[in-house]
This record gives sequence, structure tokens and C-alpha cells, in this order.
Amino acid sequence: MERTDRGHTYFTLTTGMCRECRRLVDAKIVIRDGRVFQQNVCPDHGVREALIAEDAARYLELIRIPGRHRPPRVRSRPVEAGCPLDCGLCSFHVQACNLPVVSITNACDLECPICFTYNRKDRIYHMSPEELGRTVDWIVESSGPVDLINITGGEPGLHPRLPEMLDQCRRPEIGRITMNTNGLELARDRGLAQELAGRGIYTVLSFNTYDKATCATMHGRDILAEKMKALEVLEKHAVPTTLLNVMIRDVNDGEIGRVIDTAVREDFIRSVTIQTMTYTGFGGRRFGPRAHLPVDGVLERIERQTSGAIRKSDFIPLPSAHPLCYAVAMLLTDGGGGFVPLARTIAPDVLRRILETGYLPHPEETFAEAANRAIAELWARPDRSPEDGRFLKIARKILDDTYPRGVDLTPHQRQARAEKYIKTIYVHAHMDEDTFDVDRARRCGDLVPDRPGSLISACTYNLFYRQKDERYWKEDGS
Amino acid sequence: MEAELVATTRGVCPVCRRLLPASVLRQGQAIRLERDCPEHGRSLSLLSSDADLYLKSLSTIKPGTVPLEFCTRIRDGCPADCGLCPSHEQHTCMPIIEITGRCDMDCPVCLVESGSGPRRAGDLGLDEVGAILDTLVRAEGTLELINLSGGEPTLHPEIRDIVRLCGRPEIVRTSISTNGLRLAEDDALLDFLIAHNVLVSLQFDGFSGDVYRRLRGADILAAKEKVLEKMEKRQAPLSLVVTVAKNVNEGEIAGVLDYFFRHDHVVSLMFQPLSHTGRREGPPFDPHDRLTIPDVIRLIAAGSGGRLERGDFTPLPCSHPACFALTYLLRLEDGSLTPLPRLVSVETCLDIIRNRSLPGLDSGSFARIKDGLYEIWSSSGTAPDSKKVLSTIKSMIQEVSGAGREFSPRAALAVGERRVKSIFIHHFMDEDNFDLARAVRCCSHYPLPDGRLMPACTYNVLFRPRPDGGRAPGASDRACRLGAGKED
Repeated sequence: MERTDRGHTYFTLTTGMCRECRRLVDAKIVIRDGRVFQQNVCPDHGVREALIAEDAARYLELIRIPGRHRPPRVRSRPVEAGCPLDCGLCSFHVQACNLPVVSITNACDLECPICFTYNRKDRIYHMSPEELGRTVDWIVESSGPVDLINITGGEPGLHPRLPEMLDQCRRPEIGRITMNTNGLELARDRGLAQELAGRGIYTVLSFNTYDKATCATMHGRDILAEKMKALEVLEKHAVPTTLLNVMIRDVNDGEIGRVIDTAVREDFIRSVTIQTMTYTGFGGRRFGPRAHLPVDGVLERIERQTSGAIRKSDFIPLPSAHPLCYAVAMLLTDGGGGFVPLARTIAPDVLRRILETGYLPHPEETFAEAANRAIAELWARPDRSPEDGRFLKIARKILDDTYPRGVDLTPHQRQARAEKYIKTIYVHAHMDEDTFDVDRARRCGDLVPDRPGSLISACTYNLFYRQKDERYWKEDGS
Repeated sequence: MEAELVATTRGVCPVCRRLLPASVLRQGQAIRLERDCPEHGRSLSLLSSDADLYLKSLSTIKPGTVPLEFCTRIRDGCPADCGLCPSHEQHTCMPIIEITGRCDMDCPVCLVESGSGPRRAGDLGLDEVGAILDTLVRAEGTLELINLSGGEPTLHPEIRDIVRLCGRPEIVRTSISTNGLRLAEDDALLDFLIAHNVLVSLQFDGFSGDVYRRLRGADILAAKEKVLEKMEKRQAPLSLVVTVAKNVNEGEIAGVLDYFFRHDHVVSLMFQPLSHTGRREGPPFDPHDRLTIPDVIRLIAAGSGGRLERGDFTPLPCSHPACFALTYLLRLEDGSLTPLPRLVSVETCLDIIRNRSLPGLDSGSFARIKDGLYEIWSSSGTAPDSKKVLSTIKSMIQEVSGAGREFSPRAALAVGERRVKSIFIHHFMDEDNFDLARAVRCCSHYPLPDGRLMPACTYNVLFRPRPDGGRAPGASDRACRLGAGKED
């Protein structure tokens, strides 16, 4: 008898969880046929495998770049049972808060088959403005000034005291307030858009498809008309908007090209966030077939559907996160639907530095320097491509606008101005039971302040703590 | 200096040896392992002094090989299930059979705490050795190489019978790790070993008596030199194993290399950067300032008189790059030596050495050498001495698988040993640098009489019974294992 090859190449060992018994288990990262898989080895339920990267060569390139993390200011929990069981944060967590995610209600007017959270129609809970105030105090105390705060739910648009809630988030230490919504309330056009616009709230509109049937598959019913109406209302009131696209393999993964095209054409749309389908929560855990779509799978689809106008190589991993969690591309737009990805003219390590502190490009000294350098180099270059020419034209406009002569802008004002020209595409893979990996969890900067004194990384919260949070958990999960 | 996170793994507390979550960090050019013990606090130790090389070699990986049989099952996860469980990623490339605990030395740096005290005997019986060989044959089918170790294996009262047991047809080659004290005196035993095709692997730290005093507790240079003389006189294949310790014997490397290059019968040279486990005595040891593989590569390149460059070494793709690096030197017909990585592409080279301690031991690996040959052909003129290389490899292939010859592993080995010299660097893990993710693909295993096959460093750090009877809590205490606790 001859010994045989493993059939895969082992890369490393980490800690994952078993989907069946939810116990922490050894997780092997292995490479097979040019793809990367996570194998969770449960003594009782066997080996379960999930795809975590479609391009092993790219994965191996990225995984070897050490993460540059900004340590949390406050790590309130001691290390006892080990990550993720001590979360809140413990000293094993390496990343400070980039994005506090605050759920203010568990009410929702949809029952989406893709929902990765648990809402409770039977026991509606709305956070009070006072409680939110204390939560925001804690965010500021634990994390210092933050670029962003994200208000989510449930459907925050259903909160009866939403304006007061939003006002609680206005602090000098908080750069920008974003609010997630399914758009149904916006579509009714009863004043929500004006409230948001008046308060300078950035709206994150869930927008997955232009197809009615697909819409029904993902949201439980066809709400395409409402989604289109919501867009119209947001545009009318010039609410800065992010399109949030949950991408599912073979369901809506052919539509991202069109979504991005809309985003670059419309002034009020500032960014697109693509979240790959997460098979956990109210809908997700039952959604089938389970076909994990990793971040690089999304990048490949974007490249194909934009005919290479945006390439895989235009994305860099978010420096403060695990490369399997986030990729970012920045596009310099000319306002007429034309754009140049920044990565074509600015070196990846410079882009990394710009994004080092979080999600928003910081158009401060590093950026201005890098842009100036790129511009100087391009001017001097005899073989300028049309792409470079376009870049130069837009770059000059931006610099004039963000560094106006004789006017001193605050960083946030500068950010807002630059944003009209720089559209950002974020690709984000949440973890579910099959892909949970402590190496990713401890680097997470999307933190849930579930109560004052506690910050829990978002996926860790979804998988291990939501069920301990009476406000959002229903025992039988149905 | 600011630290950057490379990976998350599990390590052990250097004081109590309990398993702990661990971070692999980059700090400048250093790769370090950080862990935090609830009882003994934070510890930080050096994994590699060349971060660029470490990070680059992380992707130098090949699929492992599945043994024919696993000895344990998956119950509590890694490493608690060890010995090998089906989750282990590599077969037993190099079994190290510890046939005795007795030794005529009490080396302060002994990994296994063997010694001359009365409680150390622990000889395996012939039946136990037989059972171990049965286990190995069941798991592996054919074994290219097995190693007899100890303690000092030549002190085993039934050493000759054990060597005879190892002569079974499934075992291609047996080597014996020895300090040389007995062989320096006992010509009959030495001749017996040579006659039975046993490769003598002599522990040899240099040509300085003082080095032996510091590492081994006594100046035994004379005995070592006596063994060298005897082996040279007999022109019997010899392997030298050098423990390299910082600020102790880096200066000896040049002399050992020179001896290796000048003597055809010295077929391989193994450098082991000091691993501070087991007795943990001897010269002062600093986990922050120790030798790691890239340091040894630098020292070899500097001490080789221009024969070797750092680029001649590649990680062993079947194990972790922080565990092994090696190079092969092809002896051309005019007697000159050329490092194999200069002749064929790195990829081909990795294919040739994949999962093998020695090249050319099976027909598949010979086929890969032939492919490499075509590569040399097609790049004629770029490879140095390509004509001489070609004719050397052609005659090797002729000797091994020429017209009318059945492929025989033993014949291939004999040819390989005459034509190819190897230099290995093997960095064993200790309490300071133990990384569980590395242990998962270890191929150097200790077979135990109870039927288990234990990856060497997992056994040394976590499972090996201590002379005082104690064991590391990491091996058995589930509460300390990340990954074993049910969430409540």
C-alpha cells in the first residue's frame, strides 16, 4: 500500500466553532485547487469546511502582511476563558474601535430570509434616548474621538423617538452619524429624509437588487418599488447615502456592476458597501444553499461586471482589519460617471496609510502629500496615459476644494468635501458559525457597545453574545 | 518598537507550560511570540531574526502525506489527542525511537533530560522495539529512514538485536544518534553497525574542548575526534549533528563545514540551533536573543569559504518553514560540489525534496529529478557547469533505474549518498517558541511503546514525563485549552 497525498496543503491552525454544538474547536486553514478553506474539526460533529478565499495566491500575499492595529484605549475584561469568551474587550483584542455599531430597536417591518440578526416582533424593544446617551458616553470614554457611529436595528426608522436618538449621537468626538435602513419608511416620504438631511445623517440604504423576484428571495417580499422610491427621496433631499448590498452567490452576484454604476453617477451616493451573505441569525441560518462567497470572490465579480474599469488590484485590504474581513477601493470620480481608481496612480502602501485609522480616507497631511507627489510625478512623466490625465484634472479640482486658499477647514469638513470626488467601495465579509476565526475576531474594529463598560466585536456579538442579550434574542430563534 | 500582528496561534507559558493563546508579532526584523499566562504574566520570545524571510517562507508549502493508519482519534482537539490523530497534517518522515533513557553523559542542554543517574535506565525491551516497528510499518508501509536514539543508544544491552530487528525489508535505512563515547572505544560495535548499514549520526559541536565543557558538561573532544578518525579510516557514511548555541560555538561552524566538504564519507551535516527544553541548564540562555534558522544560514554562508550562499537554502516545504531549512550539494564527476538550488528552479527543488529527508528515495522523486534534468537542458549555458551536471545526473539515473534494473529504494539511497551531500538546519521548539500551528505539520515523531507516534516538539514540551514524574498541564488540562471549553 502507498501513502497518499493529503489532497490539500495545510497553511495554519486557528480556533473556530462548530455549527452544530457551537463549541470552540480547532480550525485548520488549508489550500486546495487554488482556493482557501477553513476546516472546523469538531470531535462530535466531524469536519466541516467553508470557502474563505477563492484566490489562494492573493490570500497568501495578503496574509503575510502584518496587521498595523491601533490598540484599544480601554480593555475592561481580564483574559480568562480565552477569545472570544472573554469579550468585552479583553487584552487579547488588538484593534481599537473604528466603528461603534449601536442597535436602537428590535422592531422591523420585514422578515428577510437573509437577516443575520434576531428581531423580536413578540417583544418590541426600543432603546431610550437616555440609554443611548449613556452608550455614547461609553463609546467616547472607551474609544476617544471616532470617525463614525452606526445606528442600526431592527429598523431604526421605526423608532418612535428617532430624532432624539440621533441627537444623542451628536458629539464633538463623533465625526459622522450613519443610520441603516431598509428604506420602507423613506419610501413613504413622511419626513424621515428631511430629518436625516437636516441633521447631516449619512443613510445606509440596504439595496440588493434591481430584480423583483430576487428582491422577494432576499427580503421575503418584493419591495423593489419601495427601494427605488427611497432612492428618489434620498436624492431629492440630498441625503448622503451608502448603498449596502448583501451579495449572495448565484442569487444577486451578477448585479453589482449596475449598483456601482449608479453609485458613481449619483452625487448623493457616497459609497457602496458589499457584505457577503452570512449564514447566521434569523434568516441566514436557514438560507440555502449555503455557498460562502469570500471577499475576493466579490472583487472578481466587480472586475468582470465593470469590464475591468475596477480591477481586483484596485482594492487593498483595510489595514486595521483582517484581510479576509475587508477590502476597500477608492475611486476618483469626475461627476459625470467617469472615474479612476486611486490605486492606479497612488501606491498601495500610501493608500494603506490613508486608511490606517479606520474606514474613511483621511485627507490630511499624508494624503495631501501623496496626492501632491503623484501629481508632480505625473506632470513630469512624458508618457502620460489618458487615465493619468483624467486623474490630474480631478486631483487638482479636489485639492483646490479641500485646501481652499485662505480658509481653514476642520478635518471633517475636508473629509466631506473630498468625498464628493472620492467614492469608496467597501467589501466586507462577516463571519458565521462556519467561518468564525479568533484571528479575525480579535482584529475587529466594528464594535458593539452592548452596555456601558462593554465593547464586543460585531461578529463575536452575533455568534456568542446576542443570545445573552435579552433585548435581541429569542430562545428558539424562530 | 511598535508591534504588528502576523498571526494568532497557541503557545505555552515558559514557566508552567500551560497552553495559551499566542500572537505572532513582527517588531522590526524580529518575529516574536507573545502570550499572557494568568499566573505567570506576559512572555515574549524570538521566533526568527529575519522577518522578511519568515513571512516570505510562510507560503513555501506543499501538501502533506497521509499515513496508512492513525493511532488516536479526534476527541479533545490538538494537542490533547496527539499521537497521531487524523487531523495531523504530516506522516512520519523521521521516526526517532528512544531505545533507552540511560546515558554516559549528563549534558546541561539535553533536550530529553537523559543522564547517568540510576533512575534513568528505561531500556526498551526487544518486544517493545518490535511493536514500535510494527506500528511504524502499519502507518507508513515503507520507511525511508528510522533513527535510534536515547539516552545513548549504544549503551542499550541488546543494541545488536535491535539493529537486526531494524533490518526488516520495509526499512530502508537506520541511523543511530550517538555521543560517540562508546564507539570511540568499542570497535566491534562500530564495525557491527557499519556492517549492518547503520548510518552513524555523531553529535558533534566543534573542534574545541571548551565548547563541550559548556554545552555537554565535560571536555569529550578527544573521544569525538577518535570517532571521526575511525569513520574516516573505514570510509563509512557519517552524519554530523551540531547543536549551535549563541555566544558559545558559532565560531565552530566554519571548521565543521570544512571537515564536511573535505570528506566524501560525511554524507550529511545537521545544525540544530539550541532548543532550551528538557534540562534547561548550561550556558546562559536568552529567549529574546537566541539563534534562529536565518542566523544559522548566515553563519553557514559566512563560514563556508565562499562555497555556499544564503540563497542556497530553502525551507522544507513539507514542514513549517521555521522548523527546517536545507540544501543539497551535488557531487560532480570531478569531485566538485554544486548546491542543487543553483541548478534547478526552487519549485522543482521543492518537488524533489518534498516529504523526504533524502532525495531520490522513490521512483516518483526520481522522476522529478529527471524533470529537473530537462530544465537544466533547456536552460543550458545558464546553469554553472551544466555539462558536468548533466553527465552526473545521467549516470545517477543510469545507476538507479538503468536498463534492466528494478527500482530499489536501497540502491537509490546508496547512489544518492555517494552523489549528494545534504546540510540541514532543524530548529526544535521549546517552551519559549512552541507554536501549535507548526506542530500540526511536524514530520519528526517519537514512536512510543504504547503505540502512539508523538511529534517531537509536542512531546518534548508538553507530554514527556519529567524525571520528577510531572507533566505539562497543557497536554491534559482541558480548561487551559483554547478550543476545548464549551461556552456556557
